[in-house]
Amino acid sequence: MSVVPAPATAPGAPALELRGASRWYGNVVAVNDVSFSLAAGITGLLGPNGAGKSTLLHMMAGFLAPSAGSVLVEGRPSWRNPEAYRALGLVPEREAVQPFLTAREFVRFNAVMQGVADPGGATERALDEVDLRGAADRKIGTFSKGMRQRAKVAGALVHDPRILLLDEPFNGMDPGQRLHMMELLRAQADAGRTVLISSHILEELDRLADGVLVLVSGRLAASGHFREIRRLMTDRPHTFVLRSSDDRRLAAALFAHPSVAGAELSAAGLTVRTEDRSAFAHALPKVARAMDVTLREVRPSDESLESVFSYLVQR
Amino acid sequence: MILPVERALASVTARQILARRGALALAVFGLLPVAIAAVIRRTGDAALTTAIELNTMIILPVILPIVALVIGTGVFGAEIDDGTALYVLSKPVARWRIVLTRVLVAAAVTAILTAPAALLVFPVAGALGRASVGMAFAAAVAAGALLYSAVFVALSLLTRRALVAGLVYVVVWEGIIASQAPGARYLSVIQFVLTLADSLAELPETVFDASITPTAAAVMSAVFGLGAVLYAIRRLRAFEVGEAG
Repeated sequence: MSVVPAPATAPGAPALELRGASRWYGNVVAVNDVSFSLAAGITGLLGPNGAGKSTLLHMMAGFLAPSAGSVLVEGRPSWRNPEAYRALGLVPEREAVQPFLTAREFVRFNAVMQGVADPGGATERALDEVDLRGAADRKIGTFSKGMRQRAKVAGALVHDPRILLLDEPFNGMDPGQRLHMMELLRAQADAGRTVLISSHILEELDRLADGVLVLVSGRLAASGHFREIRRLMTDRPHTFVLRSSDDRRLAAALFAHPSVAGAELSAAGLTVRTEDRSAFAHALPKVARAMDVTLREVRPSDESLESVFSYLVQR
Repeated sequence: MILPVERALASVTARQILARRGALALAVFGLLPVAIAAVIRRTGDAALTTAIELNTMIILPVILPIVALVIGTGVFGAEIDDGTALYVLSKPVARWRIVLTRVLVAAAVTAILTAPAALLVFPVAGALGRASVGMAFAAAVAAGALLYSAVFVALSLLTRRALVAGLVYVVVWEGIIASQAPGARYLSVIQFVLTLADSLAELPETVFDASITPTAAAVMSAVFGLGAVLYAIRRLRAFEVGEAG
């Protein structure tokens, strides 16, 4: 059980809570015994593609029944409970929005279906919030990816939900659109909402998420403050592949350096493992110069996100 | 304003049906019997027989079920396929309201596309002054649109291959098996519709006679209609929307 640290403001039940939640399809386990609870603020749900992020979000949104455990929205199960949608705003990953609707019609449809008291006013406020007033009467089918995403967010915000669930909201956005979306989500969190954003890219959550949940192969591999998780990810052992004018000499010299944990010679070059990336980065050129060895190539060998995540799981 | 949720849902559902590719083709398909009537135009009793046969052999057993099938399976099916179902289902609206609204919209669109032909084939074929018979058939088509829509909406929540399953039901069960095995007619929606048309049109038995009794047709219509709607509501209450694909 791990609780993501976030300012706990609401008394009683947390906004979102999973207790030993699992979901399997036949023999395939998509989400495996996940427990956490969230309060106000932005939490990132991080994991490689296929880790079970969407399954987890679908369970929270009441679109998939947990095979075991429970998924609670403000203390009540989200499955088979349409009333939970009063508290939930959803931004699904799939792009499709009824293409024949204009942005204004789409947002208003959401407002009316939510039973908002003043659907017209709420629609205009939501369109303002995502800065889409100017294009509000264009059909969503003609929108760019970023605009469509903003229309989806406006539809999710229109009933002023206490919880926002966003599945890969930055996919396909250019940097400007991304920045705008980040500001928007930050404002939602500052207004006391619980915002959960899934992503398979750590950097997307930088300066945005207060807490991070890392999901790997359906399991909660790590959770905590964003900075803590990032440190874990960058301070793990790193492996570099070097090519130089004399790999053997360089290997011998590097072995003597405290930052180096191992070195191996092969046809591909010299593979060096280090526990302290920055110390090694400082030491390498000095050692090479002292040995009169010319460095031809230095490249990290295991920077794929999957290896980062699998390192976290092994810990 | 009354029923704002139902009105919003009905309007989006209707536009979703009409925005689909093939909506125009369905409209043309629905009016095909009128074109046939124009081609084989007759006079007197022969004209009446032609118009009735166009109804009992083409409009009711072929056009009505096919149009109802495409529209009825599409109202949930299309948006489940493209992912827009989330925007309807993620609302605090009782599932029976969603099902009833959508069945009624599917039925209304189906009736609008098919019932005019049931009426129009009479004057176009040359059977002038027989509007009451035409109205009887048009009313039966409208009632049939409601019944078929309930069945096909339910079917689309039962299987992702609702279009194929519905086609097998219409062609194999209603078209082939029920014509050979009289017992199977009690499980054929088209027989209920034909019986209703027969009762409303009040034609001599030599002209057109349905094969099951009005009582049986009424009871079985209620069983099919209510059963389909209740099943659809039950399914939608626990409907799982998986990942893409």
